[in-house]
Amino acid sequence: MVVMDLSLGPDAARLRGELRRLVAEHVPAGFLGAFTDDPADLETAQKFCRLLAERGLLCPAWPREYGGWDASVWEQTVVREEMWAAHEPRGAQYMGVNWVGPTIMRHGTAAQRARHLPPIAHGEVVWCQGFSEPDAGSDLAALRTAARPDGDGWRITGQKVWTSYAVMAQWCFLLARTSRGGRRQDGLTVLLVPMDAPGVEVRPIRSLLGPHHLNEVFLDDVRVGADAVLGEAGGGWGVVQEVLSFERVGIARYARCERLLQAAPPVLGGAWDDLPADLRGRWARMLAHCRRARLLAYRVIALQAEGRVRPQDAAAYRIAVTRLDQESAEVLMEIAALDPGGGEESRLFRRRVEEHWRYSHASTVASGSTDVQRILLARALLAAR
Amino acid sequence: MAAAAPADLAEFHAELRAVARALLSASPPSWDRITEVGWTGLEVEEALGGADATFAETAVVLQEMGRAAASVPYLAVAGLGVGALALLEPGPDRDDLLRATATGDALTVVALDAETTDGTPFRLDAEFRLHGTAAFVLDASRADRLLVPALDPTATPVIATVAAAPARSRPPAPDQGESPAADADTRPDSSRPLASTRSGSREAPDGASGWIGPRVPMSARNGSREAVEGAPETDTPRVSARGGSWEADCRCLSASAQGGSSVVAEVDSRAGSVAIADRAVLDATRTFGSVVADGVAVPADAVWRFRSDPGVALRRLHDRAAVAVACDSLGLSEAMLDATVAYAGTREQFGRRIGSFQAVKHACADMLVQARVARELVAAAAQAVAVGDPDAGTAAAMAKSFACAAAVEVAGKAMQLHGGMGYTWESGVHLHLKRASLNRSLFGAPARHRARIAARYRDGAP
Repeated sequence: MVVMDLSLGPDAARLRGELRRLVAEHVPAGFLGAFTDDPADLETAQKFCRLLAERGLLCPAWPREYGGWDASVWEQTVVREEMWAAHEPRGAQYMGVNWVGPTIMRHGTAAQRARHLPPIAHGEVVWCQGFSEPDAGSDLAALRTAARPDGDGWRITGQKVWTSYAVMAQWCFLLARTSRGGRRQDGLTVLLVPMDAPGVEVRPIRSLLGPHHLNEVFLDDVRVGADAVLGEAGGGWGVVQEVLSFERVGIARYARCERLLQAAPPVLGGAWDDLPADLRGRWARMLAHCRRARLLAYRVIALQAEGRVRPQDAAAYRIAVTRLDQESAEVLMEIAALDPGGGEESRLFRRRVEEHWRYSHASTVASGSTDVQRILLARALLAAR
Repeated sequence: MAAAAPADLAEFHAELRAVARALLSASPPSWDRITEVGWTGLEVEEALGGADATFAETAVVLQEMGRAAASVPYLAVAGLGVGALALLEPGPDRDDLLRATATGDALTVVALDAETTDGTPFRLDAEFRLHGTAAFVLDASRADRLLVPALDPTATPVIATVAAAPARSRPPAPDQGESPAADADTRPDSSRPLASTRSGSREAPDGASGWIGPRVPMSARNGSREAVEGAPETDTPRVSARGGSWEADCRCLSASAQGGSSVVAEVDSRAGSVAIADRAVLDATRTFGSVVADGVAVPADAVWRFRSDPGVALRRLHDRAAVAVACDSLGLSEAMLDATVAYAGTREQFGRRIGSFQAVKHACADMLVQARVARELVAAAAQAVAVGDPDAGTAAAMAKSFACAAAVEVAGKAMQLHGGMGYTWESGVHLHLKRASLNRSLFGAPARHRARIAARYRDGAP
């Protein structure tokens, strides 16, 4: 039994202070993420990544040889929390830090590590994740994008969908079928594909997440070398399970929920006490939910640090935090609707709440739907009986 | 609707529903067609060009409007405008306006603040100058005649009628042109591959400008209102376009993200003005305006009186508004259930239709129960409003609080069960979800209506 220090100690507090100062100084007050209609927002994020990298704050927990400073996973956790709470001023690059880099560290060759890790650590590269396909969503193993051997390399043909950030990415972490027969999960391989390779075409999908987030990626006979394979050819399924465990705790969603919930009373001022009592009760319950989700996240991160995390651990956290995301968004929308304030602070609060509400609706589908997470949990639970 | 109605009425409702569904499946639905077929005049007496039906029939059409997430001012005009006029003492002016509203010649909007559940923020001072502000008035910026509920100098509710001459052209519905959401591809049709719709038309649909022309004398109007003289200026900034798509903020789930709003109509007199300004809302299928009366002088013959107890009449108008929105939410719940069942019956994963998985079955069953309960409550409330039941307020509060909360849950589940398709712009599920969210807070959030129910039983029978 470990007693958890929720503040994560004085070093973490200093780090939090520094990150908040950097955000205040370098991110405009109305910033709502990098994927708006305003290209300046993307530019803000790209600059901010380089700034964090210069100060060693982009991937502090990475080993020194790859551009980190061997900080603890808790310091990395503080970075995640502060960034997500501030509407993710790292833009799309959080994925490189959270799971692309760590996965390449574990499974990459020396040459792959040398090639791919420094640009991530320096805040210079955007990665996207090529997993889902039109007929392979929850049923990921049904994917049909195929890579066939071509000399010492591969030729890839297929179609990916819901690919976040593909339109701005330089690299794709792609899952493709390299052989058939046996279990469907066998014969899948992770390939690291440059997005500027001939035959790669990206088409944006307009969605609730805004105009510059989701995409379709078409691959038409895209040629990559032997060095594109991450890990074993045919071993992609195992790599992807690891990736998903990292990904599912990679975003500190509870931190934005908490930041917005805590902002509500000061924004409403005197009107706070006029809110219906049941609404304030739900608000308080959401704050407690934030605390619970945070504790679950810390548990998974601790297990991960010891290399003992199981898919069901990440799944339990994911279910809790995405439910928190949606429920807190509803509560915040109702509070914002009753905010009589017409000033700049109120306006900004309403925009942040509205953005949170829109994003929350994707959270129970992305990265494995809640329904799939439940099945993962139930399977582990029932198998143990 | 059929629960309390005789069989022939049920048959008529079914027929009306089928016709409405067919007409509204046109993309986009045409306001001219809607007025031509007489839906704005359903409740108007035959002598004034109406169909002599009741609110129960209007409620059928209102549900279909919600089902189609139609971007037309039916709720404002038939739900509220006609409802208000019918509560007024008959007279030549009122009758003319009722006839014009029924036929679609007048777009009559009631300045009922959607953030309220009772009373009115407007008053007439001793010199009959109108004062007050309504922050969110449904379709105010589309109106050519405003009915402003106000307290007269003796604090008696009356209706001050104001011609809303537009200062500039009316803005199109927010989503039009901005996205495909308002064109042919709005309705959920998730079986359609993404690629086939991407190149779809982005043009503002025709009909959108047909009923938003400038105000002209009634006599000058015939046929399409697009053809009238004094064409609107074309450089109107689309204040709500951006807000309506990604960044609307959410006062009443709304208000312009840009923080501003542009005045689209203004009535001046020496003493003051009534200004209507566009308000962006999260729900891109609706338009709202703020209405600010700043001491405008209202001629005595433009102040119209209720035919029965004025306080009760105003109360009934609010109840009508609540039930009308509940109808809309019911329709969109049923649309989301239907779309989800259709999707679950075609989408395959793990070699099976996803509708064969227990998790999906249970979710669909939950949606069905929500929609069915909502339907009974809404039917009862519509009937109570139609017959002028003195306890209609209780039925209205129950229908509004349940049906509008249920619609948000049902649309949310629909989004979940559609997977990634659910949040694409093309699928249309997001349109219904946003409309459901807006409906929930229009004319009283569920908590407000539940509080009314609690007060009603504390105070005993009406």
